[in-house]
Amino acid sequence: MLMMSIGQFDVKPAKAGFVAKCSEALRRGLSRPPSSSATHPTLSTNHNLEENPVKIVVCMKETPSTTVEKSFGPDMRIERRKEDAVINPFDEYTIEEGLRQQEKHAGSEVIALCMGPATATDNIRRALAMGADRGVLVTDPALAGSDAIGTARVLAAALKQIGFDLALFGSAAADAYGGVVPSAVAEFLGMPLLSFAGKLDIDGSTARIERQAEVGYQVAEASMPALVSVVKSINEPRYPSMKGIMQAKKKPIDTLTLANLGLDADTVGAAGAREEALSAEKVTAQRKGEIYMGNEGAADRIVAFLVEQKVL
Amino acid sequence: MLPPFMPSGGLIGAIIFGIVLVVAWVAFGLRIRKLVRMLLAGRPENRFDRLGDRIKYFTLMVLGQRGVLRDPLPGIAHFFTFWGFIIIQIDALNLWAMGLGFQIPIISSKPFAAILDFFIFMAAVALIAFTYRRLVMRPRQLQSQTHGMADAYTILILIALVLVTLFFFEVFAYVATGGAAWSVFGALLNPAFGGMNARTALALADVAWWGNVLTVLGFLVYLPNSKHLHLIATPFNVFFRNYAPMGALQIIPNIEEREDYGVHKVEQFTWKQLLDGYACTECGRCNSVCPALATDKPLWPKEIILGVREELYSQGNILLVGAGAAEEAAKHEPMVGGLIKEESLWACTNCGACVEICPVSIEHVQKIDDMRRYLVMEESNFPQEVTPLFNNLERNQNPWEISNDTRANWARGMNIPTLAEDPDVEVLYWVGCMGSFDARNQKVATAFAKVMQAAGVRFGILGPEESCTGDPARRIGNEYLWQMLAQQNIEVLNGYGFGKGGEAKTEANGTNGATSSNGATATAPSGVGVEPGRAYNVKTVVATCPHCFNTIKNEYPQLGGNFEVIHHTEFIDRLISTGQLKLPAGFDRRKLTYHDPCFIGRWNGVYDQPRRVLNVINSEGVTEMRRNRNRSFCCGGGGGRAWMEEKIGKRINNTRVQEAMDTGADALAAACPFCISMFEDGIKAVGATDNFGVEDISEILARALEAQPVAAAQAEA
Repeated sequence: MLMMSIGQFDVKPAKAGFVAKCSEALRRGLSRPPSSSATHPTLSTNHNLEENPVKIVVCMKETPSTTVEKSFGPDMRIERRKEDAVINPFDEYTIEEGLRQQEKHAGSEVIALCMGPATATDNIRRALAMGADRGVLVTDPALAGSDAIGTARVLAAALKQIGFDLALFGSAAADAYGGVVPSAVAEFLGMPLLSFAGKLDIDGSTARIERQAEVGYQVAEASMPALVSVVKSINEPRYPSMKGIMQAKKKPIDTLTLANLGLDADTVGAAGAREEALSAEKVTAQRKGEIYMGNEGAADRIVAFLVEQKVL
Repeated sequence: MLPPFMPSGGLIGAIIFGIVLVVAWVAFGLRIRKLVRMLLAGRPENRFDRLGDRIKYFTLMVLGQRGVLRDPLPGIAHFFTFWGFIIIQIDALNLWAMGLGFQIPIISSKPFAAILDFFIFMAAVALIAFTYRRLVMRPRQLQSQTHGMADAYTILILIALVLVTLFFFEVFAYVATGGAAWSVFGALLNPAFGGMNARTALALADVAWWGNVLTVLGFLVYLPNSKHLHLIATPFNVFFRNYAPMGALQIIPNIEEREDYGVHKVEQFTWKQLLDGYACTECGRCNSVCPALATDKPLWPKEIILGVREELYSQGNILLVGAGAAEEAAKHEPMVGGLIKEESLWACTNCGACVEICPVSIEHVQKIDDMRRYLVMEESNFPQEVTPLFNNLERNQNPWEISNDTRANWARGMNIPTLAEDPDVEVLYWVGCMGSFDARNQKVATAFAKVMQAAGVRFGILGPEESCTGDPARRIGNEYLWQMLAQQNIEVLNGYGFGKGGEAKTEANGTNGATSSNGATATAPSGVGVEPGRAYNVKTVVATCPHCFNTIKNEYPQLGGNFEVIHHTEFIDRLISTGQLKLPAGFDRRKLTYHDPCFIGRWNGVYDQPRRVLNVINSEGVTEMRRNRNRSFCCGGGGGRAWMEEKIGKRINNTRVQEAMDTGADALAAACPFCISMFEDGIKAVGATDNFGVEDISEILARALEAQPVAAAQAEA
């Protein structure tokens, strides 16, 4: 297989923030100019970067199962039923990656962070059953109707409060497929985002990813603490063992409200949403296929079709 | 009563013999004590129920030797070796007594001597037959992965020694005593030795006697340390055989409150499962019928049983010493992944051919699935392709990424009510996931529904209220998922009044399902209890999938779900026999062969019903394959294998398709969605799509009914 590295991106910690040296091509992918004046809080709990254990926060969303028929309420929001709620399939890879990093770095902690309704604890337990150590649920009635930016604001605040060396995201959620949240969180935290990672290596001071490109793959690096979004090719999520399921029942899930995070209710939820769904329509699969049977001069008709399509 | 002479050679001889006798028995006793203590290190299991049946079966199988007699040559030889051995042992009591200076009545009588000599002769013939088989015929099943042949030859030589020494003792004793120590051999050969000096004859008799008693006592010590432990353990194993429905795996009780799941340490097996290891005669019949092994996969059912025994022996001291030996135990290579390879466990199709053929009632499949349970539930270690299956079963109640809300879509426009629409239907058609979602098997569901409609059966389906029965999850080792799905289904079925009530049955005295043909208990057809003239009772569940059928029938009772459930082939057979379904007899003029699905055949004894149906609809009747009925060869899809890739060796389904085609049949009749799916693939793989096909029995019927509606058929008749 052809593999080539077409760019490298380094972020090194400076006194008060980040100074990035990066190629132009990659800078365009950044959510904010690296020369931002925003001061970056000390997020890491791991001050000795030589030490191996890391604090990993995996961000997960609860989404309706991909197989259920989706319907929209009058506000054009997807109607969510508790019994259909599953972990966003993309986030299973996020959780798995957190656990694999933990396995590589003994003593590390994996925290599952979720913003959602109070009932989302069931799905957080699933992450705990897979092996995460504890869960944090941000839940507040005022959060209903949050758009991507509102969600990112909350997650950023929660990440700040929890503290982390590595925060992992899925590349999108299977309900709205926005794919904006990871970069928006990076914006709020004033940190770069290592996005669409197909491979992740951390060594305590640096996170390094490989990102699949059209030709070969790109390698990008950032110093820790780091934000990384992962794609599905990065791993194969595990199925929780029975032991895991039983242990998960005893693991703690902390609940945070907007007040705990110090956020104003009007910056999040429906009130703070800058995005509005105007209408929703069902996509009907349009399959245009024609079948020619062998005894109907199929060969000639296929040749004619290919000529028509300028294939031949 | 005094013996004619003391073959130990007088007082000193008697004393020496007495010591030897005591030492041998003490050594024997100590070994047996250890073996029993190791067994008891296993988990408890109740195998003391149904004592009457146990005694009956014991008589037939052990005393009547019915199991081994199914394979005539070694069977008959074994019959005489077994009885010869018993008679010789009884006679040995008298020989020992003679050595100590007395004699036991009856055993020392002439009639007994005649019987003894007959069996000595027959045992000698049997011994020659066995030696011939081992040396010249060399059946593949006798080869072992972990054991040399030394054990086998040792025993053949020992038996020969016992026979030869006994023979010469009898002859010389007769000569020495002038016929007072009567025997057939002595009487026959006396003329040849007639001129022999009595003292010489006496000395030779003494030598033969010492040779015999030392061999027999040596045998006594050697026996429990060798594979011939089966001589002692087999009768017990047969007595303690499984009386739960054959098709049921054992339940893991209180699954949410346990510390461990399944088996990875030998002491997690039950004592009966450990006894299986002692009872194994290493005959290898299980290997010879295993479809995985036949297609070059690394599964030797015999090695699983012997692996467990080896593990028990090597762990024995640790188990018996108990605490303090933990360190030693930690150093020990784990059983699963060590003596028993994971890939062997995953290769099993749960077809039950090994269990069926085992002459000593060993239960291989439960052990394999117990170890799978450990791998799945404790280690989350299983073939990767199974993960989506588990996830989908949890989320969608079916094996695919498809909403369960669409479960009834196949039946659209067919005028089939769901139970929610019409809760008063008489029969529930349990469609199963394959029938509901798999394009090929939707055709089977449609065909079977049409057959029922033609017979005027008032039936309905559950639609979205039906969930996967959990069978694939349970067979792969995910007991927890099975319990969740099963409970959900039981609630739904009970909600519609299909429950027969009754408490959860303990495994050991569940309903009498079929027992293996190696069992004495005949198949109890589920139709028993139906009013005469009626094809079915109200509130009967009919399943087209043998896996659904088996788990609902045999395993749901473990969770308190008791339902009257039958397989559709059996249901159709009853519709025909009661006249409720009229068919254009002989409509199908193709040459047909029939494949017995393991989960209705071996596990449930449904062999005749599908054949009867085919014999009505087909002009020629069934052309049997080489391996049929209880010897049927799996399609490769059972035990969750349908959800795993088959990467090693030849493909099982192709092998079976080839066998079906070898009958010269035009088509293969099947009765299981997994078999159909496996065979569709197999037919493509062998490139026979143009001249060979697989159809469910109901499809053949539906086509016939469509082409020649019943009214017309009746008019013709």
